[in-house]
Amino acid sequence: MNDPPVPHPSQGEPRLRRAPRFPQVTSVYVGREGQWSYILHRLTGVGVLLFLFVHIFETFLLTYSAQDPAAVAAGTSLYDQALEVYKTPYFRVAEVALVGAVVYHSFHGLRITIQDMWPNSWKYQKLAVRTQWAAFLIIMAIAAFFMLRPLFMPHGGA
Amino acid sequence: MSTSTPGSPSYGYGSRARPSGGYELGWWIFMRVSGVLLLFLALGHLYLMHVAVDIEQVTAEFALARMFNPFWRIYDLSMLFLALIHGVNGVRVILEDYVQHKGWLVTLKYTTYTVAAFFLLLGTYVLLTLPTVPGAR
Repeated sequence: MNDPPVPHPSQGEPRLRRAPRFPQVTSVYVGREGQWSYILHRLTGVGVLLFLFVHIFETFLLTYSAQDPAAVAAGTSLYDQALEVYKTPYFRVAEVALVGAVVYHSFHGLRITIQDMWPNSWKYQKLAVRTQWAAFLIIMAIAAFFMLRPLFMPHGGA
Repeated sequence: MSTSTPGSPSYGYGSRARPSGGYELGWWIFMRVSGVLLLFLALGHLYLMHVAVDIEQVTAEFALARMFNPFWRIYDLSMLFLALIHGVNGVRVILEDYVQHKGWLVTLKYTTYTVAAFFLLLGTYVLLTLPTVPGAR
């Protein structure tokens, strides 16, 4: 006796708690954890791409600054001045958000890659999403501690 | 073809279904292969440059010295290409899912491609022209 194949989550009728508010609009929230997880995947992906553009531009300033080795040695080059913005407390928090976005996007992507390789695992999607969130929260708690530590312990801590 | 063609709404419980063939299948596979590579490249980069090294330690001198090692140059170039192409294809899939008006869809897609191509060229230029030995310009 073979079990019937498990349908892919994007196939078939969703099990809704209530009728969709905007049935003509696709990709709307339908009230289950996989949906939030998926919307966050898209938001973090776009966010990281936008940061990449800024990051490439800021690295371009390094090319410009390399023309003036004296300023580089003195730490007063254009690149050093631009990095001052990243060194403010607000940007330290934004940097944690950036790392969080990349880690979230990676873990979600890894989960759907693995689950698509073994389609029967879609049966356990709820467990898989919760495992993904647990791994994300543990990694981010550790990363945020080390990244924000200089804010609370400005003199090196310990 | 996106997953939300009329009549087959994408309720998106976490992934789009594997396309049956053609370019879409190629991109579907590329997203997963580049994603796994980027998992190591980008998370390694974030750990080394944002967690292990504090932002206070990052200066032009530090960033230039890092580029004297060809390993980091190849590492950064691989990451630049994989991340931008992965990101642009992701945006394309999102636009095809949400933008219903054909004219806007074409406009937004080609704007995205143009902006990304500009930054891909800029990043490649930077990584290939930075000094390779101390003191060079």
